[in-house]
Amino acid sequence: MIEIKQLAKQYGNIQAVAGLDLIIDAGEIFGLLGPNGAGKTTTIRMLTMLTRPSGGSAFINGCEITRDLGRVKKEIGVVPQHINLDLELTARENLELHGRLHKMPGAERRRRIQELLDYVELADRAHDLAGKFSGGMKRRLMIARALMHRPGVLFLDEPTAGLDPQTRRKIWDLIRRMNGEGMTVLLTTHYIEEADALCRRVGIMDRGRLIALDTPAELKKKVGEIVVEAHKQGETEYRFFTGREQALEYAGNLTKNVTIREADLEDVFVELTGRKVGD
Amino acid sequence: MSWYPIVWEELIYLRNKFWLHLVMYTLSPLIFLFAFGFGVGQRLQLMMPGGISYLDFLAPGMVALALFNNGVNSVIIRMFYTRLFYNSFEAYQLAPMNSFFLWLGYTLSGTLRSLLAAAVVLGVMFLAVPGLVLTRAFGLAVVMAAFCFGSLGVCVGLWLRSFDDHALANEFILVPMTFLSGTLIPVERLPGFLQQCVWLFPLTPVTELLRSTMTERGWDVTLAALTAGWFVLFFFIGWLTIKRLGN
Ligand SMILES: Nc1ncnc2c1ncn2[C@@H]1O[C@H](COP(=O)(O)OP(=O)(O)O)[C@@H](O)[C@H]1O
Ligand SMILES: [Mg+2]
Repeated sequence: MIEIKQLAKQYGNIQAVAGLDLIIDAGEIFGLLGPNGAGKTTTIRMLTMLTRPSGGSAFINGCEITRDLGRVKKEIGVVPQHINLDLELTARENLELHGRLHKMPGAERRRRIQELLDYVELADRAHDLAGKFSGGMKRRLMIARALMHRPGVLFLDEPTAGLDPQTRRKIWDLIRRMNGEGMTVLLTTHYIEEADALCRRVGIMDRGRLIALDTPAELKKKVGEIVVEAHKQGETEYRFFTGREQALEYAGNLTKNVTIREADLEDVFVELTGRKVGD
Repeated sequence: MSWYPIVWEELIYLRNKFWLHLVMYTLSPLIFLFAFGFGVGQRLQLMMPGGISYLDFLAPGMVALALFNNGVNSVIIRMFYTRLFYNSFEAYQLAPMNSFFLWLGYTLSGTLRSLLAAAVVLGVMFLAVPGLVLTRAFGLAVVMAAFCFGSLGVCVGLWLRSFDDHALANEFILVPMTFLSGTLIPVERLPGFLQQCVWLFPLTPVTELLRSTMTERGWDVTLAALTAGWFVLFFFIGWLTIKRLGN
């Protein structure tokens, strides 16, 4: 379980994270969704103690992150946004380094390495340098590494950014499987469909603040489940409806080009922020 | 032993490019030996204080240079790339290891490189300089120097933010030290004001300590204390900087 209380980070004039309050239950996949610059990475970096918070506190499985640093580090696995493997080491050596850093005894370390290489389907590339891997393979190796020491809580910062659709689905399956084995997962993403596909609950972040928090279904219900898009001279107008009938009735009165469809998290985002993700 | 994984990683780098390193470590003393020792060296005989041969003067200087260049540069480059380009430094920050052991791991990696290079240079010197005698005091001086330069590498490596910084560190710190610290030219033969200034470089007491332990002058407490003093200073700067990362 992760408990976040008034967590904040100030960079000069920029309030990267402005007093975040959030409780993530044990065993859930929670998604932080938001555009670039929303403060997602800063939040994760604070929770994993790579960046010191300028205010507030956070507890991971009951340990306060700044005071019980040693225990927190054993409890968490981290897959950061950027590749941070040692590219001059082989896949196997990267995992071995991590096992050594976590003081895993030799026999257990070797067993775990083999298990994880199989798990992320890199066993046949174990002795290749990480620097020669594709983006998706590097990402999978980073996930394997984060799991080496059997953490109970996993942080994934944009785990599928820049990957092709097949690889992305592979990683989704991996995340679901780890969660199925009891792991609590906090992931960030700016892909709406990723949050929709994976997360039990989603927090929408914008400019350092949490502006919505619920299950994907509830969030969609709140803005209205049916959307009518009216296209006119390159501009699109959105209207949200709770039922199909009202939507049809409204659309029938329009002379413009219209589209009727089910709402997705992107609509929730546009409604809440007045901007599109990625703007 | 929390520091060991960092050294283990360094051993893998060394293993992967073993022959390259061996050639590198052998090449630079050979260049100095041919250019200065056998080349200009004959002429420099005149300016040797106390009438020792230039080769005898050069031998400890070259060991000092090997210790310095490899100790400092290997850590600087490793920290530079792992922190700023590959971010693999984070792997250590995320591990349950406190900042002291993180500092120690990097320092020992530099120490190891420093000692390896010095061993190769000594091997070359044995073949080139007749009558070279190694004392226990000399061995101790070499080890102290290697620690000192490993820890200096950590300080500079932590301070770098860009390629420009790297170039600056080279131009203003490393290169002047290489040539002015009594390694190739006796401090006594530098222009007057420089003779005092070069004692601000950590390489100067190290070179002089190596030289004195290689000759019958033996162990010099002042020089040893200066070397140890630099080490302590570098330790505090490096360790506190690591502690403050992430603010
Ligand atoms: N090290 C830093 N120094 C200064 N500003 C930063 C730093 N890291 C992030 N920021 C700023 O904090 C804000 C949030 O960034 P970030 O957490 O990376 O957002 P996200 O991951 O949601 O895209 C941005 O405005 C960013 O420019
Ligand atoms: Mg980010």
